[in-house]
Amino acid sequence: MKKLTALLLALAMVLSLAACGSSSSTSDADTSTTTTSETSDSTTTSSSDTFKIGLVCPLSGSSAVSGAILQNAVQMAVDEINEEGGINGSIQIELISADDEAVPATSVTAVQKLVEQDKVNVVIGSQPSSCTLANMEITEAAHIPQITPASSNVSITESGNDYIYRMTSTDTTNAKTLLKYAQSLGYTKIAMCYESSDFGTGGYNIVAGLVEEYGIEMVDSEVYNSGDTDFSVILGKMDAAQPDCFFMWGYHTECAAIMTQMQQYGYDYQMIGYGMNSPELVTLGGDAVEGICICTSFDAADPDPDVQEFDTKYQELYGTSYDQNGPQSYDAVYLIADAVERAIADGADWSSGEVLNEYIASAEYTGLTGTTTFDENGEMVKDLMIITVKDGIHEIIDWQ
Amino acid sequence: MADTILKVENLVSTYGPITALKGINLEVKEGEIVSLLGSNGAGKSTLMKSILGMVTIGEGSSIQYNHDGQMVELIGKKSHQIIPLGIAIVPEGRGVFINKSVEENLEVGTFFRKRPAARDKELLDTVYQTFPRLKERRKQLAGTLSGGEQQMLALGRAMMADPRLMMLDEPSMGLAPLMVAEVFNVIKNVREMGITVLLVEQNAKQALKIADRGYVLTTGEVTQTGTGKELLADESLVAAYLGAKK
Amino acid sequence: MLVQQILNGLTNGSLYALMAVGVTMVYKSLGMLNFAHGDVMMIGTFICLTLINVGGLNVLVAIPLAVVCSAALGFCLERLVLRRVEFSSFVNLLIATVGVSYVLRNGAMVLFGTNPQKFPSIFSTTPLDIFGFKITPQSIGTICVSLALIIALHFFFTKVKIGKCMELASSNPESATMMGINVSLMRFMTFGISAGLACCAGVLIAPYTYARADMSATIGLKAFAAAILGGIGNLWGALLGGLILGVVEALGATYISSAYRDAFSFIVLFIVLFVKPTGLLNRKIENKL
Repeated sequence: MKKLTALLLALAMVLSLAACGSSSSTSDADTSTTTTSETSDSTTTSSSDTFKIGLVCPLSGSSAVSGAILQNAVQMAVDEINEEGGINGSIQIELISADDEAVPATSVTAVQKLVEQDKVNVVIGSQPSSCTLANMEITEAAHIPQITPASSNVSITESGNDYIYRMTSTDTTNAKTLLKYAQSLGYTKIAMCYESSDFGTGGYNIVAGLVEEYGIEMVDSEVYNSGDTDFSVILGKMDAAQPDCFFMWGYHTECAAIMTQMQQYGYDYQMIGYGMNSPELVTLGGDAVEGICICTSFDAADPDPDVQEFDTKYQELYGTSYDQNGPQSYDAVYLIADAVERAIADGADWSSGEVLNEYIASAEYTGLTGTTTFDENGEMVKDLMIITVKDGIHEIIDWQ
Repeated sequence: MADTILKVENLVSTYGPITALKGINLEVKEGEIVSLLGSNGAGKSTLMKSILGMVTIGEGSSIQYNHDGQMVELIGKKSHQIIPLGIAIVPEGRGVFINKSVEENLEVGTFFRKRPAARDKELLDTVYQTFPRLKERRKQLAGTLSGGEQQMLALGRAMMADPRLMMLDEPSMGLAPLMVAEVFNVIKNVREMGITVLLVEQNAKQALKIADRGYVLTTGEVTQTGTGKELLADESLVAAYLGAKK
Repeated sequence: MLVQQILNGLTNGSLYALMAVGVTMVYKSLGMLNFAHGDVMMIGTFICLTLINVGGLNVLVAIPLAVVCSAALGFCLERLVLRRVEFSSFVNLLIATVGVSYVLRNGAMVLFGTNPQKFPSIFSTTPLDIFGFKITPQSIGTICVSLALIIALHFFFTKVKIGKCMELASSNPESATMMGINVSLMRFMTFGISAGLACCAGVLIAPYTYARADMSATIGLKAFAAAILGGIGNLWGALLGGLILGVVEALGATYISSAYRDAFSFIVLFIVLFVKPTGLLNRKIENKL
């Protein structure tokens, strides 16, 4: 028995090691490192009219890869506008970047510098929610508008801060889009499966809280773990509840397996979901994932020439891949430029933070990521895209 | 003049820091029964294991075996190379495979000597004739046999190997007197079959009765040698060992 | 639903059984659990995938080649790693195999990446309808191949001379040596065969799970659980243990909770060990080491 105890202890040890070790590979982000400069890259004109954009994001440390995407995309947009002469044809943009190393305290200091020393007109950033939550008080106090193209924590727009805007989707935006889509297809009963992580559970909670608004009933919900390979049980239960369609909140690996098994068991339901938009989905799932509908704010498959141009140019300039934060940051710059132009057209003083804030709040800008407007909290109001897989290729559905 | 089957010269064997054998010289001639006596720890089992290549041997030692007329050095060879040369052992404590049947145990003896199937059958018949009880119990698991039956099985298994030299390590240990007598009878029969026997025993009396020659081992050294009769007649030996049997 | 899940359970169970057999063989021969077993399965699977994707070989050709390569890997591990540790102590061996496990797993991540990769199935995946239950030829094939391999092993160990020698070398090395069996060679071969079996299990399971560097995480542990459940060291025990585990898991996930699916195997294991510490099919207390 002593030896058996030893064996079992060893088993437990390995179990725990495996649990720690296996949590690494589910991230969808597939970016590699690039080196970016911290200093500003600007062409100041002799005109005293320059528009200063302050960018705060992680440019070093473990989130450097994510921050680089913001830097690259913003730089690209700024350079484009300046090449055309600048905002409204004459106002050059000066981009001043500050590295917050993904550390909230550093982020606060960075924004303080941007606001007090560099006297920027607007701040874009940060990428991690923790940093944005910390630094947005600074811009609020200075009455400078701030747009985060990447932080998804709901508190950001629920804190009564009038100067913060978000141009990335939150779980709520995603959920609403999915439910609206399901409703448009006439579905009234859904069965949902989701990953047991914060990501999946968060998504599930929001969907469950919103279904009624769309006249939908959630007849079954099942949870699975990342790394699970056999979904026969949950699929059986979902099927038994007799829904109109399946919902899923998780990543592409499990999605491919789930849909493969749906095919194997003959469960012929429309799958609608979020989180699995990745080129790997088709690679792993093959023809089993045909017809899946995924909500996303950006997909490089978008045939829109502007999107394609962005994709090509980004690859050429930086040679790395990017996630939706790239186009979102790019659009943020253009949205800001558009706000300034509208202010000028109205004869308003865009150099006043309060004034600029009004024009950003009232923005209705159509760019790479669709048409962006903001609600009273600064939350992006946008119908996200629904893409589907057809013949192994991502295709955007025109459903509005 | 009978050929020498086994010649051991200056054998030194060690277990880690312990020197179990300190320079043994012995010889076994064809057709002989040679008995090795000695109390516990004298080194008898070590000697057997040395011959089989299972123990660390010191420099200057030599164990030579007569293989097809040539004297072959066994030291340096591994057990699985030595045994097929024609040496079989009946291990101390029987060493039968308890989860295998009698038949399966006997079969193991046939694994490593190349010879026609007919000879295997012959040997099996001989074994069953010698040990009718094994024949009765041939499908039984060896673990369910009594101590005496297991001893017979071990002997039979060694016989199945069709050896030239059979070594027996304490075959009478733990057996009732009737059984002991039977065992020694079988050993004599084995010699009749033309097999040379090297026998290690604590039961000195019986061992010497059937022996042609004997050696006495004391703490790793040969302290006495002679014919079976000579050693039996030796008073001091009788006193020392006749008390220490079984 | 019940029957469907039992069928699923048997499919998974037969794979656990196949892995458990490899585990139990090594335990019987060396008295230790090879914690790298699951990772050997994973490497074998990737070798096969590489032969198919890069070498352009047909699946049916690639699999036997991969099995041979895995066996070779098993041989190497035995010679290079375990022999160095020289079967010194239980703990040393355990640690050595854990070390091997990390090397294999991280090596695979470097060589093959961390993304799961699709693995072709030798059997069709279109479901058949049998009395209203859906089962794919893949499932049937998996169960049949696993059973066939285990039965073949049984015959090997009981009817073929080398197999018999391996069996004897495992259960009683000293006596086996005295009978002229090359115990060291037998150990070597046990490891090789065990590795080859792991590869077989891997190529059967990868179509479901995708080939991934962390394949061993759950399957590996369940293999140990199955082997111990059925009675460690016992071939039929491994089969029984594997099947029971697969079915219990499926039923537990269906009727109790799907999130704790993996836990059921271990719960059953603990219960059985509590009641019968030697496992289901073992009669005697193992007194190795």
